[in-house]
Amino acid sequence: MTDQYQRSPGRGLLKPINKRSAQMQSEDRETLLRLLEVVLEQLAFMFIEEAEKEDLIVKDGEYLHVSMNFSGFQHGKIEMALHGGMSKLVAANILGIDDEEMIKQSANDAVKELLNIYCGQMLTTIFSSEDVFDLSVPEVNNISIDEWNIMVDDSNTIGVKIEEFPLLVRLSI
Amino acid sequence: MAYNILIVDDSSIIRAVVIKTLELTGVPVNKIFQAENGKVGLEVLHNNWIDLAFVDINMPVMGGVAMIEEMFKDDLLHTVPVVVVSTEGSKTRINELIEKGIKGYLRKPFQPEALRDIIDQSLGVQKDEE
Repeated sequence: MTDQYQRSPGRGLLKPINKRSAQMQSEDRETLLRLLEVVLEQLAFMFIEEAEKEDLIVKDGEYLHVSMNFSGFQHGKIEMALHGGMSKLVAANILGIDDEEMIKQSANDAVKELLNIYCGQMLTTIFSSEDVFDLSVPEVNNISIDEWNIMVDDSNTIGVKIEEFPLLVRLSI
Repeated sequence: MAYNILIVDDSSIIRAVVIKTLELTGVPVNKIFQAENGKVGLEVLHNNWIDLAFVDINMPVMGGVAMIEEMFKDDLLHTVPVVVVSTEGSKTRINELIEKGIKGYLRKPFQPEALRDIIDQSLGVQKDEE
């Protein structure tokens, strides 16, 4: 296949998409990690620690999965999975509150917005700020321990720890 | 002068953040209206005097672009200053919205100072008037 998606000079990427889609490239992983660091710090005053795969495998706990699709020049899906306790921490930090009931009510909304903001930043950084993308509304669900550990194992997943809570991000294009 | 402000965003957490940030900026506010999508936002605009509207792009039912297009077609609503507050990063789409007539654009996440600056700019507030 020729480089039919080769970007023009000055655009974000110069690699053909068919090579990109097979497996996330190391520079993309690094970009996703750095963006996560920036977004979590700016939005929720949280700081990430890089984690090895074995530190991300879990045996118990309640976990949330939030995902959204993007379409345009390129289409794909961005997903985030995190411990239920962390979703409350994100809500508390974004709102600057300690009212437990309000935090509980806002937790799902907080992780949806976290992914929404992360996705917006990711698209302009990994692709380009010239391209127009349409985004779906983020959806949040509970995931099982098995589903979590399968996501950890996926080569397209990056994982970090935030205040001892694991968080996973997966980009599929 | 205190302003009536409309915040249109499907995320209640972002609406809360904008309200909190407005308090921090010290902008005089009379009343804050909230809407979870563009359709509800238009209803609020038709029924209330709004000095400034903050509008998200990506929302269910009716998104921000469709809402803004409806506003600019309306004889009365086209005069309401609109600031887009969104994760949108496409320069192409932002320029299209600026050409349509929005007063400003603020990308999430934002700092309180950025919100204050864009309010001043959108409402034509001079620093020495404050």
